[in-house]
Amino acid sequence: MHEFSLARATKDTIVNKYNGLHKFIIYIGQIQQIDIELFKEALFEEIRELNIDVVFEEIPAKMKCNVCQYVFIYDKNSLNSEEQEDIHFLPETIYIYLRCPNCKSNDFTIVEGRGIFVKPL
Amino acid sequence: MMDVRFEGMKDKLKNVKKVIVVCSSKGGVGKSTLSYIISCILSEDMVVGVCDFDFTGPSLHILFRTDMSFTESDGINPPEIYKNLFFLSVTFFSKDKPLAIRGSSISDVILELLAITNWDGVETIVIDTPPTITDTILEILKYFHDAEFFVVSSNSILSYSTVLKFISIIVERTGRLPILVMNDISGVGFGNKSNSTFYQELLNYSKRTIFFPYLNNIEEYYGKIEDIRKIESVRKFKRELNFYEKI
Ligand SMILES: Nc1ncnc2c1ncn2[C@@H]1O[C@H](COP(=O)(O)OP(=O)(O)OP(=O)(O)O)[C@@H](O)[C@H]1O
Ligand SMILES: [Mg+2]
Ligand SMILES: [Zn+2]
Repeated sequence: MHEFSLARATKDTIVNKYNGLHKFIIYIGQIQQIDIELFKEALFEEIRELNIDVVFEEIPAKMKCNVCQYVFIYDKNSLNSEEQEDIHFLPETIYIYLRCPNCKSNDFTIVEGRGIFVKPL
Repeated sequence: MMDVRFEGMKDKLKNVKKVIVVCSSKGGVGKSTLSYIISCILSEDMVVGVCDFDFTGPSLHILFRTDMSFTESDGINPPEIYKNLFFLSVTFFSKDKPLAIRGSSISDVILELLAITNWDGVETIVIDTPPTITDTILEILKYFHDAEFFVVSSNSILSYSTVLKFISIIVERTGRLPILVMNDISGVGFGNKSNSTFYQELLNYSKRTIFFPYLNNIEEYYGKIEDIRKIESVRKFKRELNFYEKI
C-alpha cells in the first residue's frame, strides 16, 4: 500500500510548505481509490504531536473529452479489479481502459479527482 | 492548494547522489541502447536505478529482456533485475498495452512515479527519455537541475543541427554544458561529415564528446549484461565516461 507514503508526503507538505498554519483541508481524488481509512490513520499518526487539525474531502473523478467535450464521472465499477489496481498506482493508465461514453475516444482530460492536495483553512 | 507529491518525491529521492539523463532532439539515435549500456557498466561499481521515461514507446524492458515488476511496501520497490541494477518502467502498470497520453498527463506520470518509488540504496539513477523537447524533458529539467545530461547524436547532418538547438535549451535551463555522445548507429563513422559546420559547432558545444562505435549484432546482447560489459568498445566507453570521481 502506498497510503503510508502519501500520508508522509501530506505531512511533509503541511510542515514544509505551510509552516505555522494549523488548519487544513485535504482533498482526496477518487480516481486512485486510496484506502481513505488507512490514509487517515497514517496521517493522524504522522501529525500526532504537531497540533494540526485536518478535515478531508473526497473529490469525484471528473473527465472531459478532448474530442466531443462531453464531461463524465469515472465509475470504478465500469472496470475490472486488475484495471482498477493499475489505476490505483498510476492513474494515467485510465487512458488505456476508459473511453468517453459519448464518442468512445480515450483522448480526454482528468479535470478533477486526481491526487491529494493540501489547502490551509 | 498544494499537490503532496512534490514533497513525496523529495523524500523518495533524498539519498540518490546522481541522475543521468539520456536524451536527444532526434528519435532513433540510440538513447535507449545507450541507457541500457550505461546502466550495465555503471552497475559494475555502484547501485543503479534505471528508469524508462518513454511512456508511449517504452523499450528498456526489451533491452534488458525482463518481465519483472515491482513489489509493494510503503510505495513501490523497483525489481533488482541484475545485481545492483534496479528497474522502473511504466510497463509495470500499462503492461503491453499502448498508453496514449499528452501534456499534463505526462507530467503527472513522472511526478507520480517519482513520488511513490523507493530508491533505497540506489546511488545513481539513469533515465531514458523520448525524443525531442517534450513535456518529459521539460519536467526533468525542472526537477533534476543538477543532473548530468547525455545528449545523443547520430552521424547525420540533420541530427547535428537539431541537437545543437536541443543543447542550447539544456544549457539555458541548467547553466551547464552536457556530455555529447556521438553514436555511430549506421556504422559509417563520423569522418565524412566532420567538415560540416554543424559538426564542428556541436563538438564545441559540450563539455566532453564521447564517440560510441557501431556494434554488430547488437540485439544478441539484449539481456546479456555480463556479455555487454565485456565488449572492448563498451569498456573503452566506460573508461571515457570516467565521471565516477565526481560522485
Ligand atoms: N551503436 C550502435 N550500433 C549498432 N546499432 C545501434 C547502435 N545504437 C543504436 N543502434 C540501433 O539503432 C536503433 C535505434 O536505437 P534506440 O532504440 O536505442 O534509439 P532511441 O534513440 O532510443 O529511439 P527512440 O527515439 O525511438 O526512443 C535500434 O535498432 C538499435 O539497435
Ligand atoms: Mg528509445
Ligand atoms: Zn467524447
